[in-house]
Amino acid sequence: MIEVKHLYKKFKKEYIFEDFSISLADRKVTSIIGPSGCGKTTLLRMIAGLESYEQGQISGINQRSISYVFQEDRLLPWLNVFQNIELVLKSKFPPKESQLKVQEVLAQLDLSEAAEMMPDELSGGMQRRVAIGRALAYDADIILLDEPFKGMDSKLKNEVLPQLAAVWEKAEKTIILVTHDIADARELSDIVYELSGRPLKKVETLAD
Amino acid sequence: MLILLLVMTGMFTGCTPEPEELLTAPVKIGSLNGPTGIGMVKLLEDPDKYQVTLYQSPDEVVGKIISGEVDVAAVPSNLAAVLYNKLEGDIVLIGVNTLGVLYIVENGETITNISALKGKTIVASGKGGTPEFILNQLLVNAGLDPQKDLTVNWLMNHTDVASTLMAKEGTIAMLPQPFTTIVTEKNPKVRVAVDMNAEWKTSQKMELPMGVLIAQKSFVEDREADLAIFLKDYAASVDFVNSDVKAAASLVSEYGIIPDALIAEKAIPQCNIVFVSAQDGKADLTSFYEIISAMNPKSIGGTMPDENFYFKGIK
Amino acid sequence: MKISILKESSKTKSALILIFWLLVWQIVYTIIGKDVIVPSPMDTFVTLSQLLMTQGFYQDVSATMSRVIAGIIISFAAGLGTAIAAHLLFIVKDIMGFAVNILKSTPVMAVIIFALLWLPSGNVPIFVCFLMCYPIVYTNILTGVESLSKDYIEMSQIYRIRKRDLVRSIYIPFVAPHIKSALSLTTGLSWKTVVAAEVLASPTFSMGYNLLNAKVYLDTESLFAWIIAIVALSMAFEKIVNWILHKGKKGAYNDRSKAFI
Repeated sequence: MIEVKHLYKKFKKEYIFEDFSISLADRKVTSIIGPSGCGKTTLLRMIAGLESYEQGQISGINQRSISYVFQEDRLLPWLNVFQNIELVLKSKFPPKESQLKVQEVLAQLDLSEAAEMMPDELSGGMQRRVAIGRALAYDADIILLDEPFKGMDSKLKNEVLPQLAAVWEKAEKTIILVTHDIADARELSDIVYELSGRPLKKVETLAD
Repeated sequence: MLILLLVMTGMFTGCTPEPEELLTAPVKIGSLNGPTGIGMVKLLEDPDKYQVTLYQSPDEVVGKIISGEVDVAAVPSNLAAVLYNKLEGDIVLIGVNTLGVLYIVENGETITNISALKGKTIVASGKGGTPEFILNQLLVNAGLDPQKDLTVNWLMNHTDVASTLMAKEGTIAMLPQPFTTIVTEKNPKVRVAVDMNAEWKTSQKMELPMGVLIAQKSFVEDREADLAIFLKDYAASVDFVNSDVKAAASLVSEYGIIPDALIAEKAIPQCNIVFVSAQDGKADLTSFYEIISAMNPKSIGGTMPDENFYFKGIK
Repeated sequence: MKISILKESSKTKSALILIFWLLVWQIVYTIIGKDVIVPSPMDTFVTLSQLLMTQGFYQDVSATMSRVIAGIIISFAAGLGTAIAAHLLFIVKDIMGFAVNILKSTPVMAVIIFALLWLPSGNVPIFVCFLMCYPIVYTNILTGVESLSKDYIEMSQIYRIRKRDLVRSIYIPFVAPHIKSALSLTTGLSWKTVVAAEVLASPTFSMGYNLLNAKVYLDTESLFAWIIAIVALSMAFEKIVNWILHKGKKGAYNDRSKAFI
């Protein structure tokens, strides 16, 4: 279980999180929704250890590996799809195994044909899928996703969502995703939290 | 203006010109800050008649001749021939003004003759002028190859060479007068290592005509009277400098050629300042040109100057 | 008819432009009339072709070219090393930044005259080339390294990418265009500074020495002939370097990087 306790976080001079607490269950898919700009991304970044906070405690992440799907993809433009995913596996697996994993993930997300293409040759939705694939291939305990379906039209979403759901069900990972689309959140997640108020103090659980 | 000139010239042709003290217009002269400048120090006293500019290196004088900014110039003797060739006869040699003044000078004690220069590096200036070719000839006479047996660092002018020589121990330089006297007076560690003029006379058996006076052909042809006055005044200046050294030295220091009058007094007699007419100097000059052009034809601009190069005298 | 001539192949166009300028030269020569100022194109090319047949020409060319290459290599070695050090240690960045700013504003002539005082004449051109090119290399590489987006660095932190993969797969490909642009900028500059230094330092084997000789002997045909040789070689050198740099990977990203050049 990942626990955020009594978190205080400032942005410029204002507090955006004030005495904020939330618990995120392991091995479940949790969505966090809320209006744009309310701090969802910041929360995710703090959990990932990319951002510091003024006061409070985040426990349950020590020693555990984390995958992160960034809002902007952050694929390396000079590597092709295959190489982008392979890069993050180099420190974990020997080459042959890395390559198999990459192929596996590409197949899972229907990207095998694009393996040799460069990121700027792909559509926004495909780039997103590559970023997600990278996170999956890394095989971390915790997967954090920031607006994973941004840039995907409903047709694509209808293809990708079930794929993801299938993958996630099999694997026993802790998945936390941040989105503004309630429908997506509902379809994929076990738990949905809504952030509200400024500064953020509380969290509401939406009925599943 | 031109008509007036022509009229005045017309009045003088056909008879021995009477030394008129009046010039039709000031004479613009370019000279160097060495013996040639010293030689005309009396002319510096007369800025209405003679607009003399002293330059640091022959390059600058050559530029002024080509552009026509000066009527008369003092240049190294070989450059006079080069200019004659390159300007297709538009200049005339009107006299020899400096004989041998070249020395090897050392901030140290190792060099005693030319052969000792083998394998060394020397500093010098005046590339393209007589020092370069005199040095090469003396090296060849001593059995050395100028290209391979020593390195010459060509600096921009003699003042820079003098500064380097005085500052750095062990420096060997080729320097003309008056710089030779100046450096040996200022820094006791600096001594004359080789008297190149004596060496030349011994091996080549002739004088060393290093510096000459040239004039624009247009000046010689159109302002003959002015030229006559100039030559007379110039010869007088040379006489004065050689006979009344003390007075000349104070003038030389006043005009900044050699700031220290006492050093100037010692240097002037060494400067071999003369005035030899073009016709009188022709024989030595021709021999000199032959010697240096045998080593490098470019030293005189490719061809031996013909007799139109030498001023024939006032008619 | 006229429009179709303008649209002809670029090779023909270049040839025609060259002929145009040769005509301009010929006209200028005829007007000025003084050989010592502007020589005739014909005499110059005769002199040039005579030069090309002498062994001395090739000795001088290779001497100059090796100085250019040496200068570039030293600039890049120093530039790369100090840029990386500056990125890692703030104090290096401050110290070098100061030096580089001064060097960038120093005129080449001043550097040459200073170097002449204490270096043997053969090395002066290399030293001068280094001092002039190093600031460009250092600045370009440092800018490249520092402009690597924090985004990629965060990504590499999350995925715990090893240092050696970080350098090999992220830093080097990102900084490569900056290195290439530095190289492009310095090829032309290195030729100019080496030859200029050679004119003043006059080492026996060099192209610059011949420029100096031509000047003092008032040999303007040789002067122009040597200038043509120097310019032609400098341009050829730049073209070859650019060709080598362009043999990169395919893909729009790499084509974009060529925009720097």
